[in-house]
Amino acid sequence: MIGLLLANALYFAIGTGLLPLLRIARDRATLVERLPLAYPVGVAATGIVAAHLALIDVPLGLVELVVLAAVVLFLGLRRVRATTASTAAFRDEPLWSRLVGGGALAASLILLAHAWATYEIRPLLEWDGWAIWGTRSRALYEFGGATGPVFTSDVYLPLQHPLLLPSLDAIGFRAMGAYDPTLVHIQLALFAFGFLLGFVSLLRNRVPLALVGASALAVLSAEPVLKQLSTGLADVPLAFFVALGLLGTGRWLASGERWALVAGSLFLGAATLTKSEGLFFALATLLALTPFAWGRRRELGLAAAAVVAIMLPWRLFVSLRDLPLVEYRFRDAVSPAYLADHADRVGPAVRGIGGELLSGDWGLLVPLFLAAVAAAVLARHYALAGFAVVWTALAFGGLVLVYWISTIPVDLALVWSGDRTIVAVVVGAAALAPLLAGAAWTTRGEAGGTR
Amino acid sequence: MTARVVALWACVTLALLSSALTLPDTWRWLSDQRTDLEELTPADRIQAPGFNNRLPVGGFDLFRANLRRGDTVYVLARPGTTVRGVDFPTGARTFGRYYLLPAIVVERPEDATVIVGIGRDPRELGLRYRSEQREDPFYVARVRDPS
Repeated sequence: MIGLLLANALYFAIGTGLLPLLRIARDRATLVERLPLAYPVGVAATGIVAAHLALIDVPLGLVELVVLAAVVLFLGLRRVRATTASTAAFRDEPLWSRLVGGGALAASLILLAHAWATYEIRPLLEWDGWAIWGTRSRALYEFGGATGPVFTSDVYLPLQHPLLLPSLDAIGFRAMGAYDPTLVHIQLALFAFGFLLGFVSLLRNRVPLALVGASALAVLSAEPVLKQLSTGLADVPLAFFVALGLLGTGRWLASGERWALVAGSLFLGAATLTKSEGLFFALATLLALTPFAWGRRRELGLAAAAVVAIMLPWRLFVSLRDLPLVEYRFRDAVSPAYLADHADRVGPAVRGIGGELLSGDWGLLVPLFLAAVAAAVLARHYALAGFAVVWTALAFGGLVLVYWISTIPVDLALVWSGDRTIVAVVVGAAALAPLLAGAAWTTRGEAGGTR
Repeated sequence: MTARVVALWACVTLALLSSALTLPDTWRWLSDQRTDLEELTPADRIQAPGFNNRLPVGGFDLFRANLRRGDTVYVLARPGTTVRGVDFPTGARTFGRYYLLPAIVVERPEDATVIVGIGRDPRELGLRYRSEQREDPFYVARVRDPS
């Protein structure tokens, strides 16, 4: 386990170097303030690099991570400017807000520690966990790359799943010096911890701590989140990246802070390499931002270009090797004739996914999102409210479209995956809730700052 | 107090209520999983995917013990079903893809360096084997060494 923890310490070091390099933190005070964001940034960035290197059969292990961390830290810390005035933080809030928020964050940490204790002894049990994700992780560990039959032969279908999560698992195995499909699940608990760090960092100074802590606990305690995360499937890691991407881009929309857009774009890029649906959710985010950030379309265009650049090597690999997508064909989504012929699938798909959305397992996350949209509207943060509503509608619509064009009988497809595919929509919307509701608290107007 | 501030605190209340509704079940599920799984040995944990899907893990251990790096494997399995509803040959091949790594599972017997049988004898295929091993109902037959 020490090796795995060391690898994660190196992700944090890489993230720390990247904060100034990506201009997420330009001076010392900001770097210290945003340091918790370094861990999820490091996980996302290392996962992206490892997934790309796997395409050319270059494995990442502890030695390579140490070199990478040293170079990135050296270059990053050289760019850090002297400290300027620190921004206001949670300490300016009323005592009760700090108590409620601190208590909820402490409860979140205790819950994650409990999950850790379970994950470290829970083997791969669910079919897709070992048949798809476990096989890909182990093959990357055994062969060092993705050019062999496990990733390219029809015998190993489905082949369309991107490599970020298996690449991080493979780094974990190399760091531990052995293939241990159970112990590597600690990485999943650390994923959740990274989400918590990113969540707090991206909401800092804009949202009362009580709302940050309560929302984080509400998301992490929802039964599907930690339960599905334990399976080793990529749906919850995808949801975490999507949620952090939404928070970053949403914060930029609300405040104009470019660092938040950079961080959000990185997480959306990581989402596209975590599962194929990540592309839908990233596209939904960029489309939902467009009408409300039209005046800042150059920055938004650069963010979109960054997401495409992150995704491109994998898409090229899929295209050049002609890897089949067995469950659906993208071109059917734009074929009126195909859609009309299969229109009878829409009703069951909407009912099925809608049923998952309103499942009691999620607690009150959907009402929380709706109340937060109302709060943003009351605070006249119309752009932020509009972005959240349009993203949720596009994301939900995108999922319906996937089930519409799927070649699998719709009832069966919903039974197999309906409860998993909805996770990114619910977690993404719920993560936006504090940003929306916090708009009623912040005294800054929309797109007020540029720091 | 303005409506927007009321809405803000309503959100804090909703988030806390949501946690109160879901946290006990999530905590209990994690606890139950730990209780159920803590007695597994390291070997059990490796074999768990097979046992959980009622696949014959013992046979796959025999196969794995007779494979070398670079081997390609054809899985010859008896008819039947698995717990997930897929037919047994598909389930066995799928498990072989995972459990027998770094050996690679192939679709045609002629591409294999080793034929493994579950409830079926590799001799059915009419190939010539360099070595054969049998622990009924499991069979391992080597066609050639890996290149």
